[in-house]
Amino acid sequence: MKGDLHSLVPRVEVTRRAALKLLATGVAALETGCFERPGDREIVPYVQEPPELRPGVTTRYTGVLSLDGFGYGVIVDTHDGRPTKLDGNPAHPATLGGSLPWLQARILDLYDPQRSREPTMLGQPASWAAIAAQLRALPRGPLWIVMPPQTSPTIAALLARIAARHDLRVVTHAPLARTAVYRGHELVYGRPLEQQLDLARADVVVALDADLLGTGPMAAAWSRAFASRRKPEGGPRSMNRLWVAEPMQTPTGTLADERLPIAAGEIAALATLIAAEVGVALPASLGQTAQARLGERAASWARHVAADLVAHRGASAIIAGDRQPPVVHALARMIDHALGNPVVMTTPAVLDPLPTHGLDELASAANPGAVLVLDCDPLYTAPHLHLAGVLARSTFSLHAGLYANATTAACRGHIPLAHDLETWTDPRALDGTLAIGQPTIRPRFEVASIIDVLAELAGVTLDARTLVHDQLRGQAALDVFDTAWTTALRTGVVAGSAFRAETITPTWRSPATDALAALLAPPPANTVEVALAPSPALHDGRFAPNAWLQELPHPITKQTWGNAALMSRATASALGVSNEDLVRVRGPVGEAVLPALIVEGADDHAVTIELGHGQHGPAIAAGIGTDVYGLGDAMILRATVSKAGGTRVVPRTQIYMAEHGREIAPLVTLAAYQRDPKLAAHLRGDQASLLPQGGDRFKGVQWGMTIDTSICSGCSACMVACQAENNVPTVGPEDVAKGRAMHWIRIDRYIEEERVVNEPMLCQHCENAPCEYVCPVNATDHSPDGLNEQVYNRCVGTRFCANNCPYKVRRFNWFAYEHEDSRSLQYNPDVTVRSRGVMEKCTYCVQRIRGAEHRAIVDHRAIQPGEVVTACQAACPTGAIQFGMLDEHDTAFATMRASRRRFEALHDLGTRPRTQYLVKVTNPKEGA
Amino acid sequence: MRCSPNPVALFTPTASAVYRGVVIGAVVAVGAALCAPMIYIRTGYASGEGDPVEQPIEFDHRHHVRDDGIDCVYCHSTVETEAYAGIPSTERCMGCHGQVWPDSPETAPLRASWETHTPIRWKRINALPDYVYFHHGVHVQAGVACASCHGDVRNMARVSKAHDLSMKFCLDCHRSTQDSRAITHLTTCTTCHR
Repeated sequence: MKGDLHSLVPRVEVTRRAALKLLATGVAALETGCFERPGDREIVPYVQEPPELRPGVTTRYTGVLSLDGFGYGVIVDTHDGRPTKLDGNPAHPATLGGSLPWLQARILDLYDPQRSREPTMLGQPASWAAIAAQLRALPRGPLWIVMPPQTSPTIAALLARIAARHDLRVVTHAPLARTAVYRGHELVYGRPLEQQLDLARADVVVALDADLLGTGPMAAAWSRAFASRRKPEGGPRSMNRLWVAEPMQTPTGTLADERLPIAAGEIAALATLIAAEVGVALPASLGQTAQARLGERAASWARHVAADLVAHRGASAIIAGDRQPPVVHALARMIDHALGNPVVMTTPAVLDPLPTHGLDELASAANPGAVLVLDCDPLYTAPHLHLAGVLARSTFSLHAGLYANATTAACRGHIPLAHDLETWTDPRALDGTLAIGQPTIRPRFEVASIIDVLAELAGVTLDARTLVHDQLRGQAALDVFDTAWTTALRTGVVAGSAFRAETITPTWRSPATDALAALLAPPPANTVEVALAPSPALHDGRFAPNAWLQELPHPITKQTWGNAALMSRATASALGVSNEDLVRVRGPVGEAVLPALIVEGADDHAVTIELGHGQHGPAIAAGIGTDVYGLGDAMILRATVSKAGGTRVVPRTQIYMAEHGREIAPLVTLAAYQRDPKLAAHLRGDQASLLPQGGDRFKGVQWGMTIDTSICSGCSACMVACQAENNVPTVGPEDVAKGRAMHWIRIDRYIEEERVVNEPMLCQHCENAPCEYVCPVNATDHSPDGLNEQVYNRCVGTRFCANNCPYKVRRFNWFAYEHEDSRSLQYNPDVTVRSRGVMEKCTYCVQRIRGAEHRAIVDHRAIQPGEVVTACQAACPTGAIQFGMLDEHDTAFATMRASRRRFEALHDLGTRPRTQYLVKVTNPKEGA
Repeated sequence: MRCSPNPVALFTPTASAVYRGVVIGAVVAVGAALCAPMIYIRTGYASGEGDPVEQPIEFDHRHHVRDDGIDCVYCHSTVETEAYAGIPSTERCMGCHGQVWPDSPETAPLRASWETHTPIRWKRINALPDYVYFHHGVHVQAGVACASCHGDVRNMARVSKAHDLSMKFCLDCHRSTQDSRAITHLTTCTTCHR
């Protein structure tokens, strides 16, 4: 851990003389500081004005981010040439306009002062030109390229050209690669294929250890499709049913109608039983073994799933998690086939779905020749292979990365990698849709993209733009190409580039039987399952240097800055530990010591630990959390866990998760809601009060927000979006532990046994706001359009308002958390940057409201419904957050506001909040 | 030693008056020391009203606006629609001065900017604090004349600040019940502070 912030504040012994000096200086500063003299500041206009740029006006471009090869289309907001905010591109199939936390946070990486800034060779500063010359002159011979999965056709073409010059071996390495999915599909289809899910058409969704709404290349798009089937007010088929079996609760699990806590290693048995029940032709012995291995509860659960699937033949989806062994994916496709589900299989977008060369092959190479490690950190993610040795044996080694990391030190050369917003790219989405990524800013220092590096190796002298452009032109008719290129850049996708469905049926073959029989064998005794999982924020660790993601509360545990051994209450008491007690985990290869954290809804036979922490690289990530890559080389391990003695603070933003019967976050079943649709009536409307109600305080357009807790998965994309939009600072682990986190919106989590509700909590903009009565300087006030306003330049920091706020949504700047380094380039110029001693809170993105008002005035029209979209609303992948005018009609907001599920949080206080919620409705199976 | 029955007076009869004078004077002095800057910053002198500022080019609004009849919007091109009025680029100036006075020493810094591709660093006359968000477009659309805030720029040789642009200056219009535009609801904090 870095030094406590308090130690950074100098302690000054103030003498009387010094105090008088300070007073005099203060008076002088008051005199000179309040008014600038004319001419103190400068105005520097352009010499030639760029045609599309207007000072102070947001310009939007399309762009593409990549993660593990897959493209995520984004819209990039730029202010005066600086990208400041990202949002999903509605036209791109991977986002459909929604966001994920990391997608929102990538904008911070662009300006991160920790980024690697200059090319080096043998520890000496070098230039990209010099390194490029070395790449071009590499002798013909073995050439290893280690990089994450790629989907770009330009990269594919370059690799083919490199293979003609060198003895090329590409090692596709990503700890969270979806190789098991492709291997599983190979088992039953004969070749690796990708499934294209349409969750909007599924009446029954079965997730087997699959966090389909939280992680994975289609999480945002699938969330949107899933949410479209969670409308309890609609017709008979408006609510689907979600069955989730998982060892640890995930965002998907929080939305489950029926959830089974089960160890990840037992999923194979569960899938076998479901398959046998729905009529997949499997050897009978497998079904019996599976039945014997599962407990009675799990077996009965499997039978209920199977009955529900059979009742909805042809309209269900079975999804196995990426970390599950291949044969589980094979079983899922066999179940689909047996039920007649409309399964769409396509070619995988990934170039090398079943990697031809493994990292272990590289590690054991005696004469590896040249080794290039691009955009990954194998020394950190595969420590058991001891790759430093092979890098030392190589004749040439180069690491390209956004940051200097563990691998950098072991390589001869290093080149700063271009950020996705600094270069031309053309990655595909999971469904094959191509998107052209264009740079939206000139790199601030000398960087190279993967395409640049590969082009040098291929002996191609063209720049990345020409390569991407020519690659696409090779696939389109020439006469219309210029229009097609412009359209692709404007819309953010290449129309019609998605893969076509293959007509193919799965067949169960004996290798699958053998693999399944091996999986169903009893696990070694005296061990417990340790399931490694992606971090919802840091992914495989590549986003660890990002402070927004480090400080993002975990959707389930609310932990920030680090990871923990997540276990059930029963497991913890069996180990004799409680929260924050250190445990020692001994895996097949190595061991790790980390704090325990009890999670409601975790399985009693599995411990879950998230990857991506405990790095030695960039400053803020160093030493945060514990590295568990060294435990073993699989995601589901058998290990021993014991109490280690000692404790470590786990900085969390929410510690109590019980509702204590206060109806803060109600939850009802669909059947109960249909029996009594008025069940939320007592939680909304007027309360007897002595305070003025409404009256003439409110004039004109009135703003409000409605949040549907039925479809909030707790993914937290809204939290990062708010941070990016509103210049919200991070405070560090020590201050989070002291309750000083600054997020304007948080996701409160209520869990009692099977009842789980995610409730985004932000300023409720109460009409009778308790904060306003207690402010001694009128720094918080109410606007005629119904906003609770916070005036930073008037606030003197008494914090009375925060104490009087029943929702606890006000945030105080205990220190000067704002930054003045390159990260300040990300600041939204339409929002004041706050400093020490000032209270702040959600403003309903008032800058966007006023911006819309200004546009309406300039155009001489009224504000249109749907014109103001708050940052959290735009980011929400499920559309759970809707914002609008109270009197609008026929919009998503109006429909939600009219719902009979509408309720006010803490209604009995009579605060008349403008932010209101919809009761969570689940759809459990009768009798399950 | 015994005390004298008739001691010599330690203080003269005027001492009390002097004492009171000093105490009152001290209070007044402290009060003045506190109040003086508060009064001072509210004066036009402190805010630099009417102080002409020397610019890198001796640009004369009188000549361009009054003599040549060029509209404000020709150079400040985004003033009708956007938050910022816009300061003309060198290219905009050169649009005329490529032909008009192409050899004049007065326009030499302009030509230098164009040839070396270096922007002209004008001195800012009217500035608002960072926590104030002002939108030119809505004011122009509402019929507020440029001169209402910027003064009679058409008759200024070197431009100077016409008003202090304090919050009071804004509220004098926004709170005015005489104003036919009825903008008293636009006095809520977030109209300007976000």
